[in-house]
Amino acid sequence: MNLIRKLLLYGLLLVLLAACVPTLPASDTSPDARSDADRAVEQTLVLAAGDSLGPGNPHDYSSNMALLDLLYEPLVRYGPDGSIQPALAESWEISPDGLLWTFKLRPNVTFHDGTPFDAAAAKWNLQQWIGVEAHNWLPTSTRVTDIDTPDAMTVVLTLKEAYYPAVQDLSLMRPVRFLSPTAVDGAGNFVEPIGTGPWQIETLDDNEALLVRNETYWGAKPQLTHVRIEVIVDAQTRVAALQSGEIHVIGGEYLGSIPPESLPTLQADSDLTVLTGAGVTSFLLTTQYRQPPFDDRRVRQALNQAIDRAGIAQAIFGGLAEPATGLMATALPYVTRTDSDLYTYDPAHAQSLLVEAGWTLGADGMLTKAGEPLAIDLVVDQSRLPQTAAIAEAVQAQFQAIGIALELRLYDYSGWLESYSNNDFDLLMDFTWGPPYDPHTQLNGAFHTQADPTEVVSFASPELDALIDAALASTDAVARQALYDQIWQTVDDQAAAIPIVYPQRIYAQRNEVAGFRLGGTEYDLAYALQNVVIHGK
Amino acid sequence: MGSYFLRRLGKALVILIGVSFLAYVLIDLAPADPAQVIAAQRLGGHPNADQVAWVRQAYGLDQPLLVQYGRWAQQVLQGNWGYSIRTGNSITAEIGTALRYSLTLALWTLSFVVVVGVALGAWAALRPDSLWDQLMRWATLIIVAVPEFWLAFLLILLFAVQLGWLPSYGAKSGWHLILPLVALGLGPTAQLARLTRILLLDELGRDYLRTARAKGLSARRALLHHALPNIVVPFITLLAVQFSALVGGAVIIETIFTWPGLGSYYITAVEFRDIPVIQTTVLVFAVIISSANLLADLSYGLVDPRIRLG
Repeated sequence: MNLIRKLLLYGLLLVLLAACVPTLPASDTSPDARSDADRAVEQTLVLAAGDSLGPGNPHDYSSNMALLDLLYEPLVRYGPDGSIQPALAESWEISPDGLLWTFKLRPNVTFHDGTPFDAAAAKWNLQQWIGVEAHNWLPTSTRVTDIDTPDAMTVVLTLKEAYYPAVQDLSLMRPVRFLSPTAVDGAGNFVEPIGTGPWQIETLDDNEALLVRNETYWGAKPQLTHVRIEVIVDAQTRVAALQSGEIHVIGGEYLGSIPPESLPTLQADSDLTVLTGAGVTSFLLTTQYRQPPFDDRRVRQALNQAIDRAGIAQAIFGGLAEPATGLMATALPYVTRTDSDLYTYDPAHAQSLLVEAGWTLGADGMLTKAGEPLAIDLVVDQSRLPQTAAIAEAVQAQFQAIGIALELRLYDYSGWLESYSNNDFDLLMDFTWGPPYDPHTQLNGAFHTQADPTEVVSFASPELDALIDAALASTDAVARQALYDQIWQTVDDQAAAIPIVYPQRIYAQRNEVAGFRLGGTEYDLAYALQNVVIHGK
Repeated sequence: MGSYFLRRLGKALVILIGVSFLAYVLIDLAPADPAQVIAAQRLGGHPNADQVAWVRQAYGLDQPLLVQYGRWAQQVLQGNWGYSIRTGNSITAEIGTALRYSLTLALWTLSFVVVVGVALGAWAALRPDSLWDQLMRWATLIIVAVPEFWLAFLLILLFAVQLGWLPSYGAKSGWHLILPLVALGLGPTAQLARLTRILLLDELGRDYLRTARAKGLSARRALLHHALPNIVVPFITLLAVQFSALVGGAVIIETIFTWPGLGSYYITAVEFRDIPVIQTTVLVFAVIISSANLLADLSYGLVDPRIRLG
C-alpha cells in the first residue's frame, strides 16, 4: 500500500469523525450572567418523564399531561378530595333543568404573554374541541349545542340534555385547557405553548423542558423558581438517575412510572423516600358476557370468587395495591359498597357454583361439561402495564386450582388492541382511568349498551342502561347518589366484571425535596409542586 | 471501476425500492389495524368505530396499498418526506436530528472499537500463549457473551450511581457519550481483538515474514509494517457490517440511555404505527447499509492493489 493511498484512507476517516464531533449540542457550561444573590434564591426541581414531552399543545393528544398541567389551567379543577373547585372560573351556576351552565370568569387573569383571559379567549378555546369530530369521545363535546358570551367575563354553555359530569369533563387536561389565542398562527395552527398556569416555558424540546415561575400568576405562587423535566425512556435508568441525584422526583402514571421490582431498592436507599397514594384505578378482567359460558351469571360469580386478590396485591405489588372490594375504589365520587361477598376469595364456593352450572369435576381435578373441558383464554397487554402479565399468571394458577384451564395470550399494545377491537377473547385484562374520568366514563363506555353493536362492552342490561342514563342526567346530587347505589348493587348482583386490585399511586423523591404532595389526579403536577422547596444542596 | 460503480448503484436503487415497498407490506401484515392504533394513541383510550373511520380517512389509510405506496414514493421523489403522524413535525428535520445522534454514537464507538480492538489483538499476537494472551482471550470471550443491556446497567450502577462520575442518561455533552459508547463498543471490541489476533498470528507465520525475520526484521516492525496492512481487507468487511448495525441497531442502548438516535426514533414510530416515519426511516437505514457496503467494496481496491473491481 503506497503512502498516498494510506493518507487518503486516514484522511477520509478523520473527515468522517470530524464531521460528527460538533453535532453534539452545547453543554450547560455557558457563562452564567446572573449574580450570586440571584442564584442563591434560585431553586430548580428536576423531574423525569418516561416519554417524549411533545410540543406542549393542550388542544391535541401529543403532549405529556403533567407538563401541560404546569402551563395550562381549566375552568374548574378536580380537587384532591374529588370535589370540583374553581380555577379560571370563579364561580358557576347550573340551571335547574341542567341545560344552562353559566361560568363567571376570574378577573385580572393574563396569559404568559400578557394577553388577557376573557370570555372571547375562553370561547375560542372551547370551540377548538366542542362539536369537533376528533374530540367526540368526550361526551361534553357532543352535548353542548351553544357557547354564548353575554359579557366579557361570562361564558354560558347550552346542553342538549342534562349531563352532570360535564363539570368533570371541563376539569380535564386534553383537549380542554386554555391556550392563549395568540399562540396560534393565522391558519389556526399551534405555534408556541402559552397558558395561564403557574409555570411558563423557558425552553422546550421533545426530550427536555425548562420552566420558569410565572411571576404574574393570579394564584399562590410556587416556592421553586424553575422546574426541569427530562425524558428518561427506560424505567430502570430513571431509578438509577434518582439514586445518583441527577433527578429529584420520579413516578406517576403520566410522568414516568416506577417498575414494581425497583421498589425494594428505592425503599432501602436512605437518601430517598417513597410516597404512595390510595389506588384510584382498577385492574380488571372483562368477560364475553353475551356468550357461553359467561352468559351464565354463576360462571361470572365463580371467576370472581376464585381469585385471591389479597395474595396478588401482596405478591405482585409488594402490598402497594389494595385488593378490589368493588368495581372501583371508594376514593372516586359516588362509589359506595354493597354487602356482596362477590369479591371474597372462596375457591370452594366458586367450584360449587360451576358444578351447579353443569360442570362435573374429573379425577384430574379439572371441570368438564359434556366431555368438553372448561378452557378459556385471557388477553393481556404486557407492554403498557408490565404487572398485568404477573397478575395473569397468578389468576391462571388460581383458576387451575378449581379446575379451569386458562390459556394466557400475552401481547404488546397493538396486539391487545387487535383482540379487543375484534372481540377476540374470552377474558380481557383492562384497567379503568381513574379521576376525573370515573366513575361515569367507565360506566357509560363499558357497562352500557352502545349504539355500535360491535363495540366491546364489559356488561350491559336494560336495567343498568336505565340506571346509568338516569344518573348521568340527574340534576340533584342526593337523587344521583341513590341511583349510583343501585348501579353498584346491580354490578355486584350481576358479577358484571372481575376487578382485581387498585394499584397505589407511587412516587419516589430525594430527601432534600420537601413539600411534594399528590393531587386529585395523576396529572396534577402544579398542585404537587406548589409548596416544594429543596433543602441542603 | 466506473462501470462497476454504476452497476452497484443500480443494484442499490433496486434494493431501496424493494425495501421500502416491503416495509409497506409488513405494516399491512402486522397485527392490529394501523388506523385503530393511531386513533387509540391520539385519543388516549379505546377509540370507537367513528373515530377509527375518521383516522383512516384523514391519513389516507382507506386507499389500496399500492396507491398509498405510490403516493408516498411520489412525495419522497419530490423531496417532501411528509410529516409525522405522532408529532406533526417535518420528518426531514426529525430524521436529520436522530441521524446526527446516531452517527455521532456510531462513529465514536467504531473508532473506539478499532483502536482498542486492534491494539489488544496485536498486543496478544506478539506474545502468543503467554499468560497475557490467555487472559485477553478469556476476558474477550466473556465480554462477547455478556448481553449489552446488562453491561449498560452495570456501567450505570458503577459510574453514575456509585461513583457519580458520569451521567446516566441524555445526550447533552461529550460526557453523556461515554457510557453508551462503552456499553455498545465492548462487545465488538472483544470480537475485533480476537479476529485481529488470529489473522495476525496466521500472517506472522507466513514464509515471507519468516524470511524477513531471519534477515533481522524486528517483531514490532514485522507486525506493524507487514502483517497488519495485509489483514485490512477482512477488517473492512467487519467494520462495514458493524457500522450499519451501530447506526440502526443500537435500539436497546439508545433506550436505556435516552440517546435520541435513529433506532429509538424508529421503534417509537412502529409502536405508534406512524407510517410515514416508519417508511422514511426504513429507507434511510437501507441507504446507510447499502452505502456502507458499497464503500467497503470500493475500498478493497484502494487498500489491496491485487483486488481489481470491474
